[in-house]
Amino acid sequence: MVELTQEIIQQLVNGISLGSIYALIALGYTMVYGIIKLINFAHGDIYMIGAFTGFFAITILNLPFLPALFVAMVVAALLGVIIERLAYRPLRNSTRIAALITAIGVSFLIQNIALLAWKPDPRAFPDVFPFRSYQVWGIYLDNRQLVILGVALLLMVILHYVVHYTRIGRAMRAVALDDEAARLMGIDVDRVISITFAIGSALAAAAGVLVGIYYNRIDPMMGVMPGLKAFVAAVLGGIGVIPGAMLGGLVMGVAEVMVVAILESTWKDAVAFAILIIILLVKPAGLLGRQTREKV
Amino acid sequence: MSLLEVRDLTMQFGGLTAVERFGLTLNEGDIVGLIGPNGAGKTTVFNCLTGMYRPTSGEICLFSKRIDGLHPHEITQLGMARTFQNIRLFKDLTVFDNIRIAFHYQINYSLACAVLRLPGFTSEERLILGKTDELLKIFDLYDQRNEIASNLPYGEQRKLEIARALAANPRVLLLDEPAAGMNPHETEELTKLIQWVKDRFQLTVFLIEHDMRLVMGLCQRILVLDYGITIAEGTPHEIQNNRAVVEAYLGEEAL
Repeated sequence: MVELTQEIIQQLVNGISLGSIYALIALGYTMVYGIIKLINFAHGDIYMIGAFTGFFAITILNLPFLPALFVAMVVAALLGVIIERLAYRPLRNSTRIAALITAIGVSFLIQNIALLAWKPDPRAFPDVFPFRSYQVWGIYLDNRQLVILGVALLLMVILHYVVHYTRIGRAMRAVALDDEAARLMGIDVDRVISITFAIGSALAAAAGVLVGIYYNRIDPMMGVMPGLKAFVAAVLGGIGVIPGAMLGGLVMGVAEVMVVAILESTWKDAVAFAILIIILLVKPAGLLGRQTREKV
Repeated sequence: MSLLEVRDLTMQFGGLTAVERFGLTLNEGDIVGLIGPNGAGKTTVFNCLTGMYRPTSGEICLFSKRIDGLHPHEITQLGMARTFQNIRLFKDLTVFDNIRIAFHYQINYSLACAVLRLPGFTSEERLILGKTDELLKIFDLYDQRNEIASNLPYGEQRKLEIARALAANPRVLLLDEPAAGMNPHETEELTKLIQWVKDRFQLTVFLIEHDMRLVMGLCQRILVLDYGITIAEGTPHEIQNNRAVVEAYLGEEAL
């Protein structure tokens, strides 16, 4: 009995580490959706660019972990803003499907540029934190998991604070609720959208660097699957709802780890999409979403 | 000096002319009404003035500065705010936050400043807290400050919308059917409130309204729009006795 409990807690710990990475990516999806009703399918690739930027910041610029993380977040934020400016803004007033298809196009574009520039072979992410494992009541925790949890938690707390207690956060919520009324309150909506992309992309980049540290490998296609899973996490939590993305990410991470532990690892990707199908059938607004009669 | 000067404003949607050669001069302290049957183009005029539509032709000057072609937020920042015919509050936010948002452009601190809670952030936030509370008290909404906006009764939502527009610190206030959906008693209260607010904040007011008692009671001058064309302009008394206006409202047979 004790062993089983220990095993469950062990898997929970692993699941939460993985889940907090999904949550960081999911936040970008959900923030962008909340504000311009676009599923930014290029988001997973921004996460990949973040991982590579972190990689180069550590290997070429010889930066320690935190400055490298910061550089990756800034570069991704700029990339997010540029993508929005060039690819999505011109389509702001066209049909949603046009912007959605453009997002998929941008995703392919970034992937293929990365493949050209960095070659498809995986690279070993530098060993910033030499592996160290701790054992508490039979449960193993390693220092990388602690770094992931710490960084993810800190970023989410900052995000919550920014969204709820600052001028830009209020503007973001206002634009999400009614962009026209927000304009007439003197809010520069284009600027708010740019900042939303910047914040979402920076969070994805942080997730990219953390994944590099956790799995020790990065490659140009690494954004595809986590991008899709984070999208499922955002839908699961209720797309457009920020706490929903955090919750959805954690649930996804735990579910994935549990499935691997109980069944086998080949099921690990299937579980994400099973969750997507179930949530769309049972509660399409998501766990924390409000029922709306919006037509899509 | 005229605050708002509109010359030959024309707005076409495809082949449809919604507003044709509309002209208006608002002087400091004026309170002018715009009336007309449904679909006459009244709200279109408002949308052109606030930058939501780009006029097909014509000129709009606010404080002698051309504003047609500017973005809505730029026009608001120059000193013109509006309310909406169908209330457009930020429904899921509290009463307090609805007003606080309208101070947005009047404060300025960087994101880093906010995250690190530097003095610039705290002092500016404290300043708008005070100003927001002041507006809430003026509009008698202070006790409901933590209420979600959509939970307020209809009449109070209307009041909140006006309070929110005032938070944007306008000198010209546009009100789109402020009395819509109000009973005669509420309308009477609102009439007094508009007059009082206008004096208190030294505003110039341009309003659209169907409720004739409100319009006739408040406005010094009235413009009548029918099918996008200004068919009459004058004092309330002149408008009430204007043949073209009565025809537009009641049809020719009524005469």
